[in-house]
Amino acid sequence: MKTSDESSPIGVYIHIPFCAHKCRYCDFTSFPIGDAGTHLAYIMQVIHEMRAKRPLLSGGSARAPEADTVYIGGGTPSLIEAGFVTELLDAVYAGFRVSDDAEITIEVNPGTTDAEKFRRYFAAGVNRVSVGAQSFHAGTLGFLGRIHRPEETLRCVWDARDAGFDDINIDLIFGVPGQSLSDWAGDLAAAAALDPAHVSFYSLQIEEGTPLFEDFVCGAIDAADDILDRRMYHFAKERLAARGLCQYEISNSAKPGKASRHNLKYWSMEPYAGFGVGAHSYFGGRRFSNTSELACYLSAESGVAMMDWTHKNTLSDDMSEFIFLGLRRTAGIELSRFRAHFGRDFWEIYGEETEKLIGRGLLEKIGDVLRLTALGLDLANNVFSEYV
Amino acid sequence: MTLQDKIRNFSIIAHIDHGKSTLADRILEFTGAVGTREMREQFLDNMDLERERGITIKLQTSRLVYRADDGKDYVLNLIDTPGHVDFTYEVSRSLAACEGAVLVVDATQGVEAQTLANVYLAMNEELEILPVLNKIDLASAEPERVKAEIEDLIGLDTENAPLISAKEGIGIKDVLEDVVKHVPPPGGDPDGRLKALIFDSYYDNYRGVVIYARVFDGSVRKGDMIRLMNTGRDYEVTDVGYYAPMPVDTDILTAGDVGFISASIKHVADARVGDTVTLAAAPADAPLKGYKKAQPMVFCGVYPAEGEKYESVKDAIEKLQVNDAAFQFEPETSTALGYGFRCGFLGLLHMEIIVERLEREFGLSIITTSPSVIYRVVMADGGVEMIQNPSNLPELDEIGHIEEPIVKADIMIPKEYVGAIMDLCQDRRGTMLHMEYVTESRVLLHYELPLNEVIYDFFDALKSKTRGYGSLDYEFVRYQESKIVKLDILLNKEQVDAFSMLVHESKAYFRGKFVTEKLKEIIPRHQFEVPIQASIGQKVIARSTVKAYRKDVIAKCYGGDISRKRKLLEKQKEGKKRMRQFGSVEVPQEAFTAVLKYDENK
Repeated sequence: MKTSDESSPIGVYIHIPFCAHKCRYCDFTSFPIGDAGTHLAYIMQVIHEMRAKRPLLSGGSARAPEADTVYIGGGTPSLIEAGFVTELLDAVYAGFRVSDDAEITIEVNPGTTDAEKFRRYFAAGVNRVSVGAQSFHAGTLGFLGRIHRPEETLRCVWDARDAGFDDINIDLIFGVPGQSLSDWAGDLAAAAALDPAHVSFYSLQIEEGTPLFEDFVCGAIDAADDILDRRMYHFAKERLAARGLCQYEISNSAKPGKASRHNLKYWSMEPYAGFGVGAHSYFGGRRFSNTSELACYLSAESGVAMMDWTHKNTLSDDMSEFIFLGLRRTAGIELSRFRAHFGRDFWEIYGEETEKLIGRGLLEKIGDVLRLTALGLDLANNVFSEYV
Repeated sequence: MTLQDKIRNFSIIAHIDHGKSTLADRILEFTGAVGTREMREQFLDNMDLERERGITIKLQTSRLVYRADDGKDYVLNLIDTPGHVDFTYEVSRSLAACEGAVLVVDATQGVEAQTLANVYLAMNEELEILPVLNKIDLASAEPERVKAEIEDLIGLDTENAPLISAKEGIGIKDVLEDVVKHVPPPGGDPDGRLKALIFDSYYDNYRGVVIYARVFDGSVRKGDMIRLMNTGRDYEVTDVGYYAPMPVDTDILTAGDVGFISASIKHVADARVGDTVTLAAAPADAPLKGYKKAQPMVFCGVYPAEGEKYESVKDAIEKLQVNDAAFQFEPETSTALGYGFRCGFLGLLHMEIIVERLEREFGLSIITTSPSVIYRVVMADGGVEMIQNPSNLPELDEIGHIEEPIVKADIMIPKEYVGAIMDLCQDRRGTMLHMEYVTESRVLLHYELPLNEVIYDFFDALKSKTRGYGSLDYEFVRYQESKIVKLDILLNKEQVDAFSMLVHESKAYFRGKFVTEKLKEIIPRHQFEVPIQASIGQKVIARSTVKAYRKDVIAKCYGGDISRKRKLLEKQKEGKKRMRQFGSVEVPQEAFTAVLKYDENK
């Protein structure tokens, strides 16, 4: 694959693993640690990691690598002192040539923010806020093990707006056991009333190793019914579209021009560098993962010691990822771009599988574009698994 | 050579798990044939599978030298016997090679169905039977009760029966003294015309087929031209010798001896157990009595699973057959499964063992179809066809009637399970012949059962309903007219021939319901609804449906963690690879075995 690293600006991801409380469905790397001492040690280590990995990222060049998106995710980034966020971003500005129009996002959880925090984020250069609302229904929030009340989400969004943020995303979850279609309609209406630029709507996945999974295995809860789950999904797409938020990825809708540029990098084989415990990176044709052990991360002296593994993508890895990540976008993949990237004809390699999937009504080809149909969006794994 | 009166040829017979192999091990150890250090558990059972299952599948024999209390050395030929109901004929030929049998009875369990079956076989061969009570070291041993059982049931004098513990090595010498004193020395004329009984054979990569034989008359040497009387083929002897228990070459085997003969025979099927070896130049007048051709009773299709090569399966099956004359096969094709083999076995255990060996020893991934017996189909025009593959059943209007094989089954159980087992037998279309109280607490049920009811899961059901205490022995008695129908399974309206089976009319509905329900659990959801139907001819008698899936998508993106997503997708793809495609329906391989499993609740 012709690497576009030198020409394409990089996406910077910083993982803040701390949470006030672990949610029952969450299997991301996070730790319920609240003391400022640990937070400080962690922030210092992330800054150390950025410096340590600089040579790797710049490929030996003296110039700092260019970055056009920054994403501070978690965990709960809003749990730590706003000052730490400022420190982190200063380190990013020092280590990367951050473009003027860069998208700089922070994830926040209602109940951990206030007006002052947002003002400080804004001052530090953050220009996009992603709010982990999940639901506006107290029952659903309780089931998920979220600590906040619905009113706190409103307060959170208002504070963000007051501080100057236009670009606001709201995260929602559906397909929660016990959640009815009307509960979900209520969540969508409440979210829409806040006039976000972007909404992510995730179908709840019961992940192994989570408390929710334990309940599921022992029969204490039932997974939501497939048919209801899909009704909720289709309903959400329509409702959001009616409010001017158009679907651009399996679980994401946005106002025109407001799609998450950072997340689009994941789906478009563009380079990104992750810092922090359990963070992932893709650059120079390699994928990397940091250790997900906090103690191990904190004690590592070099950037290499923080790594859990690295994998050099083969041509076939790159081709399959180009397809199964690219197809997550409703815009689909451009076959001419495939050829430009890999120097090979898509149909020669994947013709047979692709014809079959088109025959099954899961994919459609429109000119140069191959994309999932509405049915394909529901059964996407069926399509993706044909290309791995 | 050893004088005949210093030879003792004997077997050990027992119900499964009563300690036959352990006793054989101790005897080997005691006589110094095998050092304690090199002693592997159950030395004579040399296949891994045998050791694991604790049963003897292939025979081994060993020549031991024992100095008896009378100060003289005796040659003891211990002939091991296979310990399962499927191998009755092989057991009978091993016994025919002996003059005596040590009957091991578990002092905690008493006489079981196979104890009796084996005793009857030994009596048929007019052997001296020496009862031994084993596991005497266990607290639950009841030697007096068990002795009384042996006297009542079998009519053997147990007054001086050794009380032993093979496991602890207690009483082994008593057993050997008994053998020397009571087993008659072999008779036979060393100068007569050669008559030797083949009681086992195996394939050796260097020697070709090695015959285990008992010489009754005459003698055989290296270089002799021998003739196998039932097959009529001649071979030149390349080696003779005996096992001690490692092979030892000798010059000659003579009347009374037990040993091996190798003669560049290519297939074990050419040296069938029960055949008589004589000299081509001076043949005996008549072969020894009792020879039977191997007669498979149970059949099933064996097919390469997805991704497995036909050639690899063929090679493995051929290799196994070289060593197992009772195992038969021929190529067949199935619309659903492609090219494969129709295989014939002595019984269900034999089938399970072969299938397991194909999977484990050869590392093959195979699919087996429903086991079947041979039906005797009497055509409307009076002709007769023997059918074991459901797909070959002639058109209904050409059939006069169908006959199925019936077996006589002896089932021994503790009395509290009589009700449950009578229900089971009745459910399996059995007819009770009679019932006897073996002891106050144990009952022997004599039934006639259709073999096709026995081969599915009867043994599993018997074990499960009697908490493992029930035991079974059966033998074929006759063919009997029966209402047999062909039950077909349709997936998404298309018949899958590999699932077809021949069943009794009265069982068709339950069988059909069971299979359709089971397949519903196993077949994954598809993009469309999959109806599963069981039918007889055009008539659908049972039905279930696999609902269509509506959702199959990873919603979240895990912060750029692509490897995790890839793993999930790869797993999904891998799962799909293990599926068989039938029309538009994908069926996991395990579906074929799952529909055969005994289910307590069904």
